[in-house]
Amino acid sequence: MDDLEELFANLSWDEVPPADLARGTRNAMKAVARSHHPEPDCRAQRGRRAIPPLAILPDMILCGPCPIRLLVLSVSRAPAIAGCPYTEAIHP
Amino acid sequence: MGRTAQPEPDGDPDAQALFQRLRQGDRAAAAELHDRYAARLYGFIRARVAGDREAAADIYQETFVSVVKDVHRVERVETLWSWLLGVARHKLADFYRRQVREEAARHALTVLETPEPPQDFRRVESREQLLAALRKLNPTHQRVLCLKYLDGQTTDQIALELNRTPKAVESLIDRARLALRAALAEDA
Repeated sequence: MDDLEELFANLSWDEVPPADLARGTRNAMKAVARSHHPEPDCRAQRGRRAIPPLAILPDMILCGPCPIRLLVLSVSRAPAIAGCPYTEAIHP
Repeated sequence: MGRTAQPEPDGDPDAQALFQRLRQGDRAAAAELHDRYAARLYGFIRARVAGDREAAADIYQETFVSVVKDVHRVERVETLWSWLLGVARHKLADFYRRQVREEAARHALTVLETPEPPQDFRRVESREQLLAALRKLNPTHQRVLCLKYLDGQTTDQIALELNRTPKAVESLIDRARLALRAALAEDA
């Protein structure tokens, strides 16, 4: 038997994530779920075509048919945008 | 057209219902998925990034957001947990690819001394000791040891994952083991 197998057997555990990370992720999941279904309700997009502060950041995804981009890597730190239901959900 | 996996066999009657609710954009289902698997997924990821909390946080968040974002592309899942694991493994692979690129850039600027590996394997008393030693390895060595010892993958499977020949993977594993032993010896 490989002598490292026993060592690595200790590297399996459940661990509650830090509270802020868990909260941000949970809120982001809810926001993304709503952004895809059934129809986007993007108040922030009314009257303007783009949201410059988020549009220039890397690591973004498109939220379904809505042109709002949500920062994935640090979504919990994304700024709240007035009228944007996604970022407002993250930062109520 | 969406991908098709196997039916739900894990004995959890709620799992398939939860999956369908997610597909319908149910926000409460997204929160429920998170709460159900948060600790399990976070621990899984932390073990595979040598305990690095920052990296684990990013991958954890990316994984959960991705599954909700892409759920409409998946018609069925084998189990919710296996689905999450599959996504997490992709995120881990991306993470290690980035690490390897950064490591290569650092190597271009640094002359490294290779420590002499000890002949005898030292007994490791704690998980933290092992994680600390893993963190000293280069990303490729970290990853190959995780694939072999944490995920239990065969040499052929690892070869496919890393796009190398099985022979090259065997050699890589040997070098990774030596590097880990050396790192453990440094901490002794």
